[in-house]
Amino acid sequence: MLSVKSLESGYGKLRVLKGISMQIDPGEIVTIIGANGAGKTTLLNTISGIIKATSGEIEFNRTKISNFPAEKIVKLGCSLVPEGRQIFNTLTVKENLLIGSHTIKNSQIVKSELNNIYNLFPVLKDRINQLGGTLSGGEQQMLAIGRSLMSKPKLIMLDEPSTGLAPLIIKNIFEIIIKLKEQGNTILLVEQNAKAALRIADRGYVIETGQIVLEDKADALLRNDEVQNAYLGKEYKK
Amino acid sequence: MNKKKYYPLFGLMAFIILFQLFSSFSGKEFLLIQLTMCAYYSMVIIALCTLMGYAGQISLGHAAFFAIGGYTTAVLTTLNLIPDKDNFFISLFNSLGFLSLRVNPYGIEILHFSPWIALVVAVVITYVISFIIGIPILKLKGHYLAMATLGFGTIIYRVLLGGKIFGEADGISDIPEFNIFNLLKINGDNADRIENYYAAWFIVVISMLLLINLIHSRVGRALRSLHGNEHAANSIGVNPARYKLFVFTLSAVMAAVGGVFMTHFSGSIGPGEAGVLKSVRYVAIVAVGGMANIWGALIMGIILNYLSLRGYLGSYDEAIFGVILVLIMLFTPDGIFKAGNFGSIKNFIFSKIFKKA
Repeated sequence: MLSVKSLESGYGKLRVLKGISMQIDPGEIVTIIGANGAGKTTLLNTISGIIKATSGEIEFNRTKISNFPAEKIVKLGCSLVPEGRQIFNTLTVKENLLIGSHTIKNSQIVKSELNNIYNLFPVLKDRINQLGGTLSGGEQQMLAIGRSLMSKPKLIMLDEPSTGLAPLIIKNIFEIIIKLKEQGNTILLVEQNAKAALRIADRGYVIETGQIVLEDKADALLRNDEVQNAYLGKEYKK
Repeated sequence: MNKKKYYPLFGLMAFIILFQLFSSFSGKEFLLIQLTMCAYYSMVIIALCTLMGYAGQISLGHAAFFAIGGYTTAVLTTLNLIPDKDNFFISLFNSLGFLSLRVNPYGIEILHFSPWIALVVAVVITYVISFIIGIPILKLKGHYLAMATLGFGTIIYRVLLGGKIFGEADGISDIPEFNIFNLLKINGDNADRIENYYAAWFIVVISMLLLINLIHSRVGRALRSLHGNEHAANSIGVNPARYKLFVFTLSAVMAAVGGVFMTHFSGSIGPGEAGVLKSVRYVAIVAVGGMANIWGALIMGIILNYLSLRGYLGSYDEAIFGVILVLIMLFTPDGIFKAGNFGSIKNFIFSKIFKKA
Protein backbone atom coordinates (compact mmCIF):
# COMPACT_ATOMS: atom_id res chain seq x y z
CA MET A 1 0.00 0.00 0.00
CA LEU A 2 2.72 2.44 0.98
CA SER A 3 6.36 2.03 0.19
CA VAL A 4 9.12 4.43 1.05
CA LYS A 5 12.56 4.11 -0.53
CA SER A 6 15.71 5.81 0.81
CA LEU A 7 13.73 8.88 1.76
CA GLU A 8 15.59 12.00 2.81
CA SER A 9 14.03 15.16 4.14
CA GLY A 10 14.44 17.88 6.71
CA TYR A 11 14.00 21.53 7.55
CA GLY A 12 16.18 23.98 5.63
CA LYS A 13 19.77 22.79 5.88
CA LEU A 14 18.98 20.39 8.68
CA ARG A 15 18.75 16.80 7.42
CA VAL A 16 16.41 14.88 9.66
CA LEU A 17 15.62 11.77 7.62
CA LYS A 18 18.75 10.12 6.28
CA GLY A 19 17.54 7.47 3.89
CA ILE A 20 14.45 5.77 5.28
CA SER A 21 13.01 2.69 3.62
CA MET A 22 9.88 0.97 4.78
CA GLN A 23 6.64 -0.44 3.56
CA ILE A 24 3.10 -1.11 4.69
CA ASP A 25 0.77 -3.77 3.33
CA PRO A 26 -3.01 -3.41 3.22
CA GLY A 27 -4.81 -4.24 6.45
CA GLU A 28 -1.76 -3.96 8.69
CA ILE A 29 -1.01 -1.88 11.73
CA VAL A 30 2.60 -0.82 11.41
CA THR A 31 4.23 1.14 14.18
CA ILE A 32 7.29 3.31 14.17
CA ILE A 33 8.94 3.71 17.54
CA GLY A 34 11.84 5.89 18.48
CA ALA A 35 13.09 8.51 20.88
CA ASN A 36 12.42 12.25 20.78
CA GLY A 37 13.94 13.89 17.75
CA ALA A 38 14.51 10.63 15.90
CA GLY A 39 12.45 11.87 12.95
CA LYS A 40 9.13 10.12 13.48
CA THR A 41 6.97 13.17 12.97
CA THR A 42 9.14 14.40 10.13
CA LEU A 43 8.62 11.07 8.39
CA LEU A 44 4.83 11.34 8.65
CA ASN A 45 4.85 14.98 7.57
CA THR A 46 6.98 14.09 4.56
CA ILE A 47 4.72 11.23 3.53
CA SER A 48 1.67 13.48 3.81
CA GLY A 49 3.32 16.20 1.72
CA ILE A 50 3.54 18.91 4.37
CA ILE A 51 7.33 18.79 4.13
CA LYS A 52 8.92 18.20 0.74
CA ALA A 53 11.25 15.24 0.40
CA THR A 54 14.75 16.20 -0.72
CA SER A 55 15.41 12.81 -2.24
CA GLY A 56 14.05 9.29 -2.28
CA GLU A 57 10.71 7.92 -3.29
CA ILE A 58 7.26 7.56 -1.76
CA GLU A 59 4.77 5.32 -3.50
CA PHE A 60 1.16 5.07 -2.43
CA ASN A 61 -0.93 2.41 -4.17
CA ARG A 62 1.63 2.42 -7.00
CA THR A 63 1.38 6.19 -7.48
CA LYS A 64 4.52 8.19 -6.88
CA ILE A 65 3.49 10.87 -4.41
CA SER A 66 6.89 12.30 -3.44
CA ASN A 67 6.20 15.64 -5.11
CA PHE A 68 2.46 15.88 -4.62
CA PRO A 69 0.97 18.74 -2.60
CA ALA A 70 -0.65 17.72 0.70
CA GLU A 71 -4.25 18.11 -0.50
CA LYS A 72 -3.68 15.74 -3.41
CA ILE A 73 -2.24 13.10 -1.11
CA VAL A 74 -5.30 13.35 1.14
CA LYS A 75 -7.48 12.97 -1.92
CA LEU A 76 -5.65 9.78 -2.88
CA GLY A 77 -6.60 8.30 0.50
CA CYS A 78 -3.63 8.90 2.74
CA SER A 79 -4.70 10.83 5.83
CA LEU A 80 -2.75 12.17 8.79
CA VAL A 81 -3.90 12.64 12.38
CA PRO A 82 -1.35 15.26 13.33
CA GLU A 83 0.71 15.36 16.49
CA GLY A 84 -0.94 17.25 19.34
CA ARG A 85 -4.37 16.72 17.72
CA GLN A 86 -4.53 20.18 16.10
CA ILE A 87 -8.25 20.58 16.51
CA PHE A 88 -9.84 23.76 15.16
CA ASN A 89 -10.74 25.37 18.46
CA THR A 90 -13.12 27.97 17.07
CA LEU A 91 -15.09 25.53 14.93
CA THR A 92 -17.80 23.28 16.32
CA VAL A 93 -17.32 19.53 16.55
CA LYS A 94 -19.52 19.05 13.51
CA GLU A 95 -17.63 21.67 11.51
CA ASN A 96 -14.34 20.07 12.54
CA LEU A 97 -15.58 16.80 11.12
CA LEU A 98 -17.00 18.37 7.98
CA ILE A 99 -13.73 20.10 7.21
CA GLY A 100 -12.14 16.66 7.28
CA SER A 101 -14.18 15.79 4.22
CA HIS A 102 -13.00 18.86 2.38
CA THR A 103 -11.66 16.77 -0.50
CA ILE A 104 -15.01 15.01 -0.99
CA LYS A 105 -17.54 17.03 -2.93
CA ASN A 106 -20.43 14.56 -2.88
CA SER A 107 -22.63 15.61 0.06
CA GLN A 108 -24.31 12.19 0.23
CA ILE A 109 -21.00 10.49 0.96
CA VAL A 110 -20.14 13.17 3.51
CA LYS A 111 -23.43 12.62 5.30
CA SER A 112 -23.04 8.86 5.54
CA GLU A 113 -19.44 9.24 6.64
CA LEU A 114 -20.54 11.65 9.35
CA ASN A 115 -22.97 9.01 10.63
CA ASN A 116 -20.22 6.41 10.66
CA ILE A 117 -18.10 8.69 12.82
CA TYR A 118 -20.97 9.29 15.22
CA ASN A 119 -21.42 5.53 15.54
CA LEU A 120 -17.74 5.05 16.18
CA PHE A 121 -17.54 7.94 18.67
CA PRO A 122 -20.91 8.42 20.37
CA VAL A 123 -19.28 11.04 22.62
CA LEU A 124 -18.83 13.32 19.64
CA LYS A 125 -22.47 13.02 18.67
CA ASP A 126 -23.48 14.41 22.06
CA ARG A 127 -21.31 17.43 21.44
CA ILE A 128 -21.81 18.32 17.80
CA ASN A 129 -22.47 21.99 18.45
CA GLN A 130 -19.78 22.44 21.06
CA LEU A 131 -16.60 24.26 20.05
CA GLY A 132 -13.63 22.00 19.39
CA GLY A 133 -11.50 23.86 21.91
CA THR A 134 -13.84 23.03 24.78
CA LEU A 135 -13.43 19.26 24.48
CA SER A 136 -11.25 17.22 26.82
CA GLY A 137 -7.95 15.83 25.57
CA GLY A 138 -9.36 12.38 24.90
CA GLU A 139 -12.39 13.76 23.10
CA GLN A 140 -10.14 15.99 21.03
CA GLN A 141 -8.09 12.97 20.02
CA MET A 142 -11.26 11.17 18.98
CA LEU A 143 -12.30 14.24 17.04
CA ALA A 144 -8.91 14.37 15.32
CA ILE A 145 -9.21 10.71 14.35
CA GLY A 146 -12.80 11.24 13.24
CA ARG A 147 -11.78 14.26 11.21
CA SER A 148 -9.17 12.29 9.33
CA LEU A 149 -11.61 9.42 8.76
CA MET A 150 -13.97 11.89 7.08
CA SER A 151 -11.76 11.91 4.01
CA LYS A 152 -12.42 8.17 3.58
CA PRO A 153 -8.75 7.27 3.80
CA LYS A 154 -7.19 3.97 2.81
CA LEU A 155 -4.21 4.60 5.04
CA ILE A 156 -4.50 6.40 8.38
CA MET A 157 -1.33 7.81 9.88
CA LEU A 158 -1.53 8.59 13.58
CA ASP A 159 1.13 10.78 15.10
CA GLU A 160 1.48 10.12 18.85
CA PRO A 161 -2.21 9.72 19.63
CA SER A 162 -1.44 9.03 23.32
CA THR A 163 0.36 12.31 24.06
CA GLY A 164 -0.93 14.01 27.17
CA LEU A 165 -3.75 11.58 27.85
CA ALA A 166 -4.61 9.66 31.01
CA PRO A 167 -3.78 5.91 30.92
CA LEU A 168 -7.43 4.96 30.86
CA ILE A 169 -8.10 7.22 27.87
CA ILE A 170 -5.01 5.89 26.10
CA LYS A 171 -6.42 2.39 26.44
CA ASN A 172 -9.64 3.68 24.93
CA ILE A 173 -7.84 5.27 21.97
CA PHE A 174 -5.86 2.09 21.30
CA GLU A 175 -9.06 0.06 21.34
CA ILE A 176 -10.40 2.41 18.69
CA ILE A 177 -7.29 1.85 16.58
CA ILE A 178 -7.85 -1.91 16.78
CA LYS A 179 -11.47 -1.37 15.80
CA LEU A 180 -10.37 0.67 12.80
CA LYS A 181 -8.13 -2.17 11.73
CA GLU A 182 -10.99 -4.66 12.09
CA GLN A 183 -13.02 -2.42 9.78
CA GLY A 184 -10.35 -3.00 7.14
CA ASN A 185 -8.27 0.14 7.53
CA THR A 186 -4.51 0.22 7.19
CA ILE A 187 -2.74 2.09 9.96
CA LEU A 188 0.64 3.65 10.42
CA LEU A 189 1.11 4.42 14.09
CA VAL A 190 3.91 6.56 15.43
CA GLU A 191 4.32 6.36 19.19
CA GLN A 192 6.62 7.09 22.05
CA ASN A 193 4.60 4.71 24.15
CA ALA A 194 6.41 1.83 22.49
CA LYS A 195 5.01 -0.98 24.61
CA ALA A 196 1.39 -0.10 23.96
CA ALA A 197 2.04 0.47 20.26
CA LEU A 198 3.86 -2.82 19.76
CA ARG A 199 1.10 -4.73 21.53
CA ILE A 200 -1.49 -3.78 18.95
CA ALA A 201 0.77 -3.62 15.89
CA ASP A 202 1.56 -6.34 13.36
CA ARG A 203 5.02 -5.06 12.51
CA GLY A 204 7.28 -2.37 13.80
CA TYR A 205 10.22 -0.21 12.78
CA VAL A 206 12.70 1.32 15.18
CA ILE A 207 13.97 4.71 14.08
CA GLU A 208 17.09 6.36 15.46
CA THR A 209 18.47 9.75 14.33
CA GLY A 210 16.75 9.59 10.98
CA GLN A 211 17.53 5.99 10.13
CA ILE A 212 15.69 2.71 10.50
CA VAL A 213 17.84 0.56 12.77
CA LEU A 214 15.56 -2.38 13.26
CA GLU A 215 12.47 -3.89 11.70
CA ASP A 216 10.56 -6.97 12.70
CA LYS A 217 7.24 -8.48 13.69
CA ALA A 218 5.79 -6.56 16.61
CA ASP A 219 5.91 -9.42 19.11
CA ALA A 220 9.52 -10.13 18.12
CA LEU A 221 10.38 -6.50 18.80
CA LEU A 222 8.65 -6.70 22.14
CA ARG A 223 10.96 -9.57 23.07
CA ASN A 224 14.08 -8.01 21.53
CA ASP A 225 16.70 -7.20 24.16
CA GLU A 226 17.94 -4.05 22.52
CA VAL A 227 14.43 -2.67 22.14
CA GLN A 228 13.55 -3.65 25.66
CA ASN A 229 16.57 -1.83 26.99
CA ALA A 230 16.18 1.27 24.91
CA TYR A 231 12.42 1.78 24.75
CA LEU A 232 10.56 -0.53 27.05
CA GLY A 233 12.37 0.31 30.28
CA LYS A 234 13.68 -3.18 31.06
CA GLU A 235 16.91 -1.84 32.56
CA TYR A 236 14.88 0.30 34.84
CA LYS A 237 12.94 -2.67 36.14
CA LYS A 238 16.12 -4.47 37.17
CA MET B 1 -30.62 26.15 11.44
CA ASN B 2 -30.07 26.67 7.77
CA LYS B 3 -32.37 29.63 7.33
CA LYS B 4 -31.52 31.19 10.66
CA LYS B 5 -28.43 32.84 9.21
CA TYR B 6 -30.64 35.05 7.02
CA TYR B 7 -32.75 36.47 9.85
CA PRO B 8 -30.47 39.43 10.62
CA LEU B 9 -30.70 40.36 6.95
CA PHE B 10 -34.40 41.09 7.40
CA GLY B 11 -33.54 43.18 10.42
CA LEU B 12 -31.09 45.18 8.34
CA MET B 13 -33.64 45.75 5.60
CA ALA B 14 -36.27 46.79 8.12
CA PHE B 15 -33.82 49.26 9.66
CA ILE B 16 -32.98 50.72 6.25
CA ILE B 17 -36.63 51.26 5.38
CA LEU B 18 -37.61 52.59 8.80
CA PHE B 19 -34.73 55.03 8.84
CA GLN B 20 -35.72 56.38 5.44
CA LEU B 21 -39.37 56.77 6.48
CA PHE B 22 -38.35 58.43 9.72
CA SER B 23 -36.07 60.90 8.01
CA SER B 24 -38.58 61.72 5.27
CA PHE B 25 -41.47 62.28 7.68
CA SER B 26 -39.42 64.36 10.05
CA GLY B 27 -38.06 66.44 7.20
CA LYS B 28 -34.50 65.42 7.89
CA GLU B 29 -33.72 63.67 4.65
CA PHE B 30 -30.19 65.06 4.74
CA LEU B 31 -29.43 62.36 7.30
CA LEU B 32 -29.64 59.83 4.50
CA ILE B 33 -26.54 61.20 2.81
CA GLN B 34 -24.19 60.08 5.57
CA LEU B 35 -25.94 56.75 5.83
CA THR B 36 -25.45 56.25 2.10
CA MET B 37 -21.75 56.90 2.54
CA CYS B 38 -21.78 54.47 5.47
CA ALA B 39 -23.14 51.83 3.15
CA TYR B 40 -20.20 52.18 0.78
CA TYR B 41 -17.68 52.14 3.62
CA SER B 42 -19.48 49.08 4.97
CA MET B 43 -18.44 47.24 1.82
CA VAL B 44 -14.83 47.58 2.92
CA ILE B 45 -15.68 46.60 6.47
CA ILE B 46 -17.57 43.41 5.68
CA ALA B 47 -14.94 42.46 3.11
CA LEU B 48 -12.18 43.04 5.65
CA CYS B 49 -14.14 41.15 8.31
CA THR B 50 -14.31 38.09 6.06
CA LEU B 51 -10.58 38.32 5.40
CA MET B 52 -9.51 39.03 8.98
CA GLY B 53 -12.14 37.53 11.20
CA TYR B 54 -12.93 34.36 9.32
CA ALA B 55 -9.80 33.59 7.30
CA GLY B 56 -7.45 35.13 9.87
CA GLN B 57 -5.40 37.20 7.44
CA ILE B 58 -4.85 40.75 8.62
CA SER B 59 -4.72 43.60 6.12
CA LEU B 60 -3.61 47.10 7.03
CA GLY B 61 -3.96 48.18 3.42
CA HIS B 62 -7.61 47.81 2.67
CA ALA B 63 -8.21 51.52 2.23
CA ALA B 64 -5.84 51.22 -0.72
CA PHE B 65 -8.18 48.80 -2.50
CA PHE B 66 -11.11 51.11 -1.86
CA ALA B 67 -9.07 53.95 -3.35
CA ILE B 68 -7.91 51.88 -6.31
CA GLY B 69 -11.55 51.27 -7.19
CA GLY B 70 -12.48 54.90 -6.65
CA TYR B 71 -9.56 56.36 -8.54
CA THR B 72 -9.94 53.96 -11.46
CA THR B 73 -13.47 55.10 -12.06
CA ALA B 74 -12.54 58.72 -11.33
CA VAL B 75 -9.77 58.75 -13.92
CA LEU B 76 -11.69 56.86 -16.59
CA THR B 77 -14.84 58.96 -16.29
CA THR B 78 -13.09 62.33 -16.24
CA LEU B 79 -10.31 61.78 -18.79
CA ASN B 80 -11.36 63.77 -21.86
CA LEU B 81 -10.91 61.70 -25.01
CA ILE B 82 -12.10 64.40 -27.43
CA PRO B 83 -8.56 65.23 -28.65
CA ASP B 84 -7.99 61.55 -29.49
CA LYS B 85 -11.43 61.08 -30.98
CA ASP B 86 -10.09 59.83 -34.28
CA ASN B 87 -7.71 57.36 -32.75
CA PHE B 88 -8.57 53.84 -33.92
CA PHE B 89 -9.12 52.41 -30.44
CA ILE B 90 -11.11 55.36 -29.20
CA SER B 91 -13.48 55.24 -32.15
CA LEU B 92 -13.73 51.48 -31.74
CA PHE B 93 -14.65 51.95 -28.06
CA ASN B 94 -17.11 54.62 -29.07
CA SER B 95 -18.87 52.42 -31.58
CA LEU B 96 -19.02 49.62 -29.00
CA GLY B 97 -20.81 52.00 -26.65
CA PHE B 98 -17.99 52.03 -24.11
CA LEU B 99 -17.84 55.81 -24.04
CA SER B 100 -20.26 58.52 -23.15
CA LEU B 101 -20.41 62.23 -23.87
CA ARG B 102 -21.32 64.96 -21.44
CA VAL B 103 -20.95 68.69 -21.05
CA ASN B 104 -19.23 69.86 -17.90
CA PRO B 105 -20.33 72.95 -15.93
CA TYR B 106 -17.97 75.13 -17.99
CA GLY B 107 -19.66 74.13 -21.24
CA ILE B 108 -16.82 71.92 -22.40
CA GLU B 109 -17.69 68.65 -24.10
CA ILE B 110 -16.12 65.66 -22.47
CA LEU B 111 -15.92 62.24 -24.07
CA HIS B 112 -15.11 59.68 -21.40
CA PHE B 113 -15.46 56.01 -20.54
CA SER B 114 -18.89 55.09 -19.29
CA PRO B 115 -19.10 54.26 -15.58
CA TRP B 116 -20.04 50.68 -16.43
CA ILE B 117 -16.76 50.18 -18.23
CA ALA B 118 -15.00 51.96 -15.38
CA LEU B 119 -16.58 49.59 -12.87
CA VAL B 120 -15.46 46.54 -14.84
CA VAL B 121 -11.95 47.96 -15.28
CA ALA B 122 -11.77 48.82 -11.57
CA VAL B 123 -12.74 45.28 -10.60
CA VAL B 124 -10.22 43.77 -13.02
CA ILE B 125 -7.40 46.09 -11.94
CA THR B 126 -8.08 45.46 -8.26
CA TYR B 127 -8.24 41.74 -8.84
CA VAL B 128 -4.95 41.73 -10.73
CA ILE B 129 -3.17 43.93 -8.17
CA SER B 130 -4.43 41.96 -5.19
CA PHE B 131 -3.56 38.70 -6.95
CA ILE B 132 -0.02 39.81 -7.76
CA ILE B 133 0.78 41.20 -4.32
CA GLY B 134 -1.19 38.44 -2.62
CA ILE B 135 1.02 35.63 -3.90
CA PRO B 136 4.16 36.78 -2.09
CA ILE B 137 2.72 38.54 0.97
CA LEU B 138 0.18 35.90 1.95
CA LYS B 139 3.10 33.61 2.72
CA LEU B 140 3.63 35.88 5.71
CA LYS B 141 1.76 35.51 8.97
CA GLY B 142 0.59 37.72 11.79
CA HIS B 143 2.69 40.83 12.38
CA TYR B 144 4.68 40.31 9.22
CA LEU B 145 1.57 40.21 7.07
CA ALA B 146 0.33 43.36 8.81
CA MET B 147 3.62 45.12 8.00
CA ALA B 148 3.60 44.02 4.38
CA THR B 149 0.02 45.18 3.80
CA LEU B 150 0.83 48.43 5.59
CA GLY B 151 3.70 48.91 3.16
CA PHE B 152 1.43 48.21 0.24
CA GLY B 153 -1.12 50.74 1.51
CA THR B 154 1.58 53.36 1.89
CA ILE B 155 2.83 52.81 -1.65
CA ILE B 156 -0.65 53.24 -3.11
CA TYR B 157 -1.20 56.35 -0.99
CA ARG B 158 2.04 57.96 -2.18
CA VAL B 159 1.37 57.04 -5.81
CA LEU B 160 -2.08 58.63 -5.66
CA LEU B 161 -0.71 61.65 -3.84
CA GLY B 162 2.12 62.19 -6.30
CA GLY B 163 0.57 61.11 -9.60
CA LYS B 164 -0.38 63.89 -12.01
CA ILE B 165 -3.11 61.78 -13.53
CA PHE B 166 -4.59 61.31 -10.04
CA GLY B 167 -4.77 65.03 -9.39
CA GLU B 168 -2.03 64.90 -6.73
CA ALA B 169 -3.13 66.22 -3.33
CA ASP B 170 -6.37 67.68 -4.72
CA GLY B 171 -7.69 64.37 -5.94
CA ILE B 172 -10.21 64.21 -8.74
CA SER B 173 -13.52 66.01 -8.77
CA ASP B 174 -16.37 66.58 -11.21
CA ILE B 175 -17.02 62.87 -11.56
CA PRO B 176 -20.22 62.12 -13.49
CA GLU B 177 -23.15 60.15 -12.16
CA PHE B 178 -23.43 56.39 -12.52
CA ASN B 179 -26.58 55.86 -14.49
CA ILE B 180 -28.04 52.37 -14.05
CA PHE B 181 -30.33 51.67 -17.03
CA ASN B 182 -31.89 55.11 -16.61
CA LEU B 183 -33.65 53.79 -13.52
CA LEU B 184 -31.19 54.73 -10.86
CA LYS B 185 -28.61 57.43 -10.72
CA ILE B 186 -25.69 57.15 -8.34
CA ASN B 187 -24.86 60.79 -7.74
CA GLY B 188 -24.80 63.31 -4.95
CA ASP B 189 -27.87 65.17 -6.16
CA ASN B 190 -30.16 66.17 -3.32
CA ALA B 191 -33.22 65.32 -5.39
CA ASP B 192 -32.05 61.73 -5.79
CA ARG B 193 -30.92 61.06 -2.28
CA ILE B 194 -33.62 58.53 -1.41
CA GLU B 195 -32.99 56.38 -4.45
CA ASN B 196 -29.25 56.72 -3.86
CA TYR B 197 -29.74 55.57 -0.31
CA TYR B 198 -31.63 52.48 -1.38
CA ALA B 199 -29.21 51.73 -4.20
CA ALA B 200 -26.27 51.82 -1.80
CA TRP B 201 -27.92 49.57 0.76
CA PHE B 202 -29.10 47.23 -1.96
CA ILE B 203 -25.46 46.66 -2.88
CA VAL B 204 -24.57 46.05 0.77
CA VAL B 205 -27.46 43.60 1.27
CA ILE B 206 -26.42 41.65 -1.84
CA SER B 207 -22.82 41.59 -0.62
CA MET B 208 -23.90 40.42 2.82
CA LEU B 209 -25.97 37.65 1.27
CA LEU B 210 -22.95 36.57 -0.73
CA LEU B 211 -20.59 36.64 2.25
CA ILE B 212 -22.97 34.87 4.64
CA ASN B 213 -23.38 32.07 2.16
CA LEU B 214 -19.65 31.95 1.60
CA ILE B 215 -18.88 31.74 5.31
CA HIS B 216 -21.31 28.87 5.84
CA SER B 217 -20.21 26.95 2.78
CA ARG B 218 -17.54 24.33 2.31
CA VAL B 219 -15.16 27.07 1.19
CA GLY B 220 -16.02 29.13 4.27
CA ARG B 221 -15.21 26.21 6.51
CA ALA B 222 -11.87 25.87 4.78
CA LEU B 223 -11.21 29.57 5.37
CA ARG B 224 -12.09 29.32 9.04
CA SER B 225 -9.90 26.25 9.40
CA LEU B 226 -6.97 28.29 8.05
CA HIS B 227 -7.62 30.83 10.77
CA GLY B 228 -7.56 28.15 13.42
CA ASN B 229 -4.56 26.17 12.33
CA GLU B 230 -2.97 26.36 8.93
CA HIS B 231 -0.79 23.31 9.47
CA ALA B 232 -3.75 21.12 10.41
CA ALA B 233 -5.85 22.54 7.59
CA ASN B 234 -3.14 21.58 5.14
CA SER B 235 -2.86 18.08 6.57
CA ILE B 236 -6.54 17.38 5.96
CA GLY B 237 -6.50 18.52 2.38
CA VAL B 238 -7.06 22.28 2.36
CA ASN B 239 -4.64 24.17 0.13
CA PRO B 240 -3.80 27.21 2.28
CA ALA B 241 -2.16 29.30 -0.43
CA ARG B 242 -5.09 28.92 -2.79
CA TYR B 243 -7.78 29.77 -0.26
CA LYS B 244 -5.88 32.69 1.21
CA LEU B 245 -5.40 34.18 -2.23
CA PHE B 246 -9.06 33.62 -3.02
CA VAL B 247 -10.35 35.41 0.07
CA PHE B 248 -7.77 38.19 -0.27
CA THR B 249 -8.74 38.99 -3.86
CA LEU B 250 -12.44 38.67 -3.08
CA SER B 251 -12.23 41.11 -0.22
CA ALA B 252 -10.06 43.51 -2.24
CA VAL B 253 -12.55 43.51 -5.11
CA MET B 254 -15.45 44.06 -2.75
CA ALA B 255 -13.68 47.05 -1.20
CA ALA B 256 -12.99 48.40 -4.69
CA VAL B 257 -16.65 48.11 -5.69
CA GLY B 258 -17.50 50.17 -2.61
CA GLY B 259 -14.91 52.70 -3.74
CA VAL B 260 -16.32 52.93 -7.25
CA PHE B 261 -19.86 53.71 -6.14
CA MET B 262 -18.72 55.98 -3.33
CA THR B 263 -16.77 58.03 -5.86
CA HIS B 264 -19.77 58.43 -8.15
CA PHE B 265 -21.93 59.27 -5.17
CA SER B 266 -19.71 61.96 -3.75
CA GLY B 267 -18.53 63.18 -7.16
CA SER B 268 -14.94 63.42 -6.07
CA ILE B 269 -12.14 61.45 -4.47
CA GLY B 270 -8.93 62.45 -2.72
CA PRO B 271 -5.78 60.59 -1.69
CA GLY B 272 -6.96 60.59 1.94
CA GLU B 273 -9.17 57.62 1.05
CA ALA B 274 -6.05 55.50 0.66
CA GLY B 275 -4.41 56.77 3.83
CA VAL B 276 -3.01 54.45 6.45
CA LEU B 277 -5.28 55.98 9.08
CA LYS B 278 -8.29 54.91 7.02
CA SER B 279 -6.99 51.35 6.89
CA VAL B 280 -6.40 51.38 10.62
CA ARG B 281 -9.92 52.65 11.15
CA TYR B 282 -11.38 49.77 9.12
CA VAL B 283 -9.37 47.28 11.15
CA ALA B 284 -10.51 48.96 14.37
CA ILE B 285 -14.16 48.77 13.35
CA VAL B 286 -13.86 45.08 12.53
CA ALA B 287 -12.18 44.48 15.89
CA VAL B 288 -14.84 46.42 17.78
CA GLY B 289 -17.58 44.47 16.01
CA GLY B 290 -15.88 41.24 17.03
CA MET B 291 -13.45 39.85 14.47
CA ALA B 292 -15.34 36.76 13.35
CA ASN B 293 -18.73 38.42 13.49
CA ILE B 294 -19.76 39.91 10.19
CA TRP B 295 -22.96 41.39 11.59
CA GLY B 296 -21.12 42.94 14.50
CA ALA B 297 -18.64 44.51 12.11
CA LEU B 298 -21.43 45.84 9.90
CA ILE B 299 -23.38 47.34 12.81
CA MET B 300 -20.31 48.95 14.35
CA GLY B 301 -19.31 50.16 10.89
CA ILE B 302 -22.66 51.88 10.48
CA ILE B 303 -22.66 53.43 13.96
CA LEU B 304 -19.06 54.61 14.06
CA ASN B 305 -18.87 55.80 10.47
CA TYR B 306 -22.17 57.58 10.86
CA LEU B 307 -21.06 59.41 13.99
CA SER B 308 -17.80 60.30 12.35
CA LEU B 309 -19.36 61.45 9.06
CA ARG B 310 -21.99 63.52 10.86
CA GLY B 311 -19.13 65.21 12.65
CA TYR B 312 -20.18 64.19 16.17
CA LEU B 313 -16.66 63.08 16.90
CA GLY B 314 -15.31 66.48 15.92
CA SER B 315 -11.65 66.93 15.25
CA TYR B 316 -10.84 64.19 17.73
CA ASP B 317 -12.13 61.64 15.25
CA GLU B 318 -9.09 59.42 15.04
CA ALA B 319 -8.36 59.84 18.73
CA ILE B 320 -11.83 58.60 19.65
CA PHE B 321 -11.35 55.59 17.39
CA GLY B 322 -8.12 54.91 19.22
CA VAL B 323 -9.79 55.14 22.63
CA ILE B 324 -12.61 52.84 21.53
CA LEU B 325 -10.10 50.31 20.27
CA VAL B 326 -8.13 50.35 23.51
CA LEU B 327 -11.28 49.96 25.63
CA ILE B 328 -12.62 47.12 23.52
CA MET B 329 -9.33 45.27 23.60
CA LEU B 330 -9.14 45.67 27.37
CA PHE B 331 -12.67 44.74 28.33
CA THR B 332 -14.15 42.60 25.60
CA PRO B 333 -11.49 41.52 23.13
CA ASP B 334 -14.01 39.40 21.23
CA GLY B 335 -15.97 42.51 20.31
CA ILE B 336 -19.01 44.27 21.68
CA PHE B 337 -21.39 41.77 20.15
CA LYS B 338 -19.97 38.73 21.85
CA ALA B 339 -22.83 36.44 22.84
CA GLY B 340 -21.75 36.48 26.48
CA ASN B 341 -22.10 40.24 26.72
CA PHE B 342 -25.74 40.13 25.73
CA GLY B 343 -26.32 37.28 28.12
CA SER B 344 -24.93 39.21 31.07
CA ILE B 345 -26.83 42.37 30.17
CA LYS B 346 -30.03 40.38 29.81
CA ASN B 347 -29.40 38.58 33.10
CA PHE B 348 -28.70 41.88 34.78
CA ILE B 349 -31.94 43.44 33.55
CA PHE B 350 -34.02 40.35 34.28
CA SER B 351 -32.62 39.96 37.77
CA LYS B 352 -33.48 43.59 38.54
CA ILE B 353 -37.03 43.23 37.29
CA PHE B 354 -37.93 39.83 38.65
CA LYS B 355 -36.33 40.08 42.04
CA LYS B 356 -38.61 42.96 42.89
CA ALA B 357 -41.70 41.22 41.58
